[in-house]
Amino acid sequence: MKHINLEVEAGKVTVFIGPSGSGKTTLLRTLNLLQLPTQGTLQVDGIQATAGAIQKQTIQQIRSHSAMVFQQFNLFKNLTVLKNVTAALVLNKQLSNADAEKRAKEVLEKVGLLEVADQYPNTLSGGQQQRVSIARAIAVRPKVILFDEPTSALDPELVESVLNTIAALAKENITMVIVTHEMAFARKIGDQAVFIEDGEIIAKGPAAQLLSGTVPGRISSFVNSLNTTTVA
Amino acid sequence: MAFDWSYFFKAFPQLFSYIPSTLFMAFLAMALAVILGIIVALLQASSITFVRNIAKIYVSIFRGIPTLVQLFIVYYGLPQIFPVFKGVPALMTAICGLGIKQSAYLAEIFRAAINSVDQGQIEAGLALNIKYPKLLIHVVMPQAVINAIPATSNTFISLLKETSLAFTLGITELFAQGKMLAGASFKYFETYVAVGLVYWLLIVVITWGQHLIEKSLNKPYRRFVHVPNSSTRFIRNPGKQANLETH
Repeated sequence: MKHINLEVEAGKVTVFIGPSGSGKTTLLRTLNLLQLPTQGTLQVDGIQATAGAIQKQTIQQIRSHSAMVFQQFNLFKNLTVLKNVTAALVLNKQLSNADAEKRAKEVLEKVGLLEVADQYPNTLSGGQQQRVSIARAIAVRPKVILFDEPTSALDPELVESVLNTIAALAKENITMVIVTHEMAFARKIGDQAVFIEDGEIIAKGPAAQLLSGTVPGRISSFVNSLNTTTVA
Repeated sequence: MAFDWSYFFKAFPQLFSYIPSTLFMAFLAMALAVILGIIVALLQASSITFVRNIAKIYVSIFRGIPTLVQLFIVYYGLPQIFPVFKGVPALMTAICGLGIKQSAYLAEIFRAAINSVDQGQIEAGLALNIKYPKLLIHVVMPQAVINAIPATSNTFISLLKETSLAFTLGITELFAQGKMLAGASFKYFETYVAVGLVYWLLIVVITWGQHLIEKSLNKPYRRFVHVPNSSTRFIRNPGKQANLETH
C-alpha cells in the first residue's frame, strides 16, 4: 500500500470499495494494528502510532477503542454465544460476570439472537454467526467498528439479515469502516466511499455520488460490473 | 503338548495383583510426560531461536534413543559418573525415564494441536484487546486439548505397554510377574498369552475411557442442539431452522 492519506470522521460510515487483492482488507487491518504499517502514521482519537516505533501500549490503546467483524466470523468455537460476547468484557476486567452477561443479553437482543445465547457457534447458520460477531463487537462499546467483508462468506439468502443489522447500527452514529462488495448496501449506508486499487486510494468522496455508477471512468466500470453480477 | 487351560486360568489372578503397580507407573509417567510435553511444546513456540533449538534437541534426543537404552543409561550409567544418582530407586528411574521419553512425543502432538486451532479466533481476540496469554488459556488451549486427545491416548497406550521394560531394572510389575510364573511352571505359552491378554484388557478399558472423554469434550462442536421440553429429540443443523424463524 502506498500514498494512503485518509481521514475517517467520527460517527460516520466509511466504505472501502475496490477489486479483490487491492489492499482494502490490509488497510482496514492497519487501522487496529493487526497489520503493522511499515511507514507513516495512524491517529485514532488522539492516540498516535508512527510506523517503526509502535509500542505495545499504543496497540492496546487503539484496540481498546475499536472492534472488528471478520469475513469468517472468527467466533470462539469453544464458548457459547453468550460467552463469546462477554469474553472481552470479562477477560479485560471491564465488567463483572453478571454485568457482562446483562450487557451481552442486551446486544444479542439487538441483533435478534437472544434465543441462541446458550448455543455454541457451530450450531448456528453463517448469518447468525456473523450477527453474533457483530454483537460481540458492539458489546465492548467501541468508538469504531471495522468490518472486513462481513457478508462475503455467507449464502446469498443470509446476507440480508447481516446487512440489516449493520444498517441499524449505522443509525446509532457508531463510527464504522466497512470493506464490502455489496454496492447497493455501500451506497445506502455509506457516508464516505473510498475506492482502492493496486494498494492506492484512487478516489474518495460521498458514497452516494462516488458509487452511483455515473462518474465516468474506472470506478463506475467497477461499480457497474458488480451491479450486474448482483442482478444476475 | 496340549494347552493347559486350567493353568492358564489360574495365572490370571496372580497377574491381576500386579495391575496396580503397572498402572501406577503408567499414570505417574504420563503425568510427568504431559507436564514436560506442554513445557517443551511452548518452548518450541518461543520467539527466541536459542530456546526453540533447545526444545528441538530435546525432542530429537528422547525420540531418537530406544527406551530401553535410555533406561539403562539412567539406571546403570548415571550413578557411575554422578554418584548423586546412586541409590535412586529403580521405580523412580523407570517412571522418570518413561515420562521423559514420552514427553518428547507429546511435545510434538501438543504443538500440532495448538497450531491446528484456527488463527482467526486469536486475531478476533486481539482485535478486542484481549491479551495473547489469556486467549491461549481461554480459547486456544480448550480446543487444542480436544485435538490432542486421540494422539495423546495413543501415547498413553504405548507408555502403558512400555512399563513392561521396567522389569529390566528389577521392578516387579505385570510382565515381571509373568516371567516369574513362566519360569517356575515352564508353561511359557500359557503364561505369556495370559500376560498379553491382561495388557490388552487394560488397553481396551483405556480406549473406551478415551471415547467417553472425547464425546463429552466434543459436545460444543457438534451440529446438534437439544430441543427444550423433549429429552430425547435432537435436530440436525438447527441454524437454518432457527434462522427461518427470525426472518
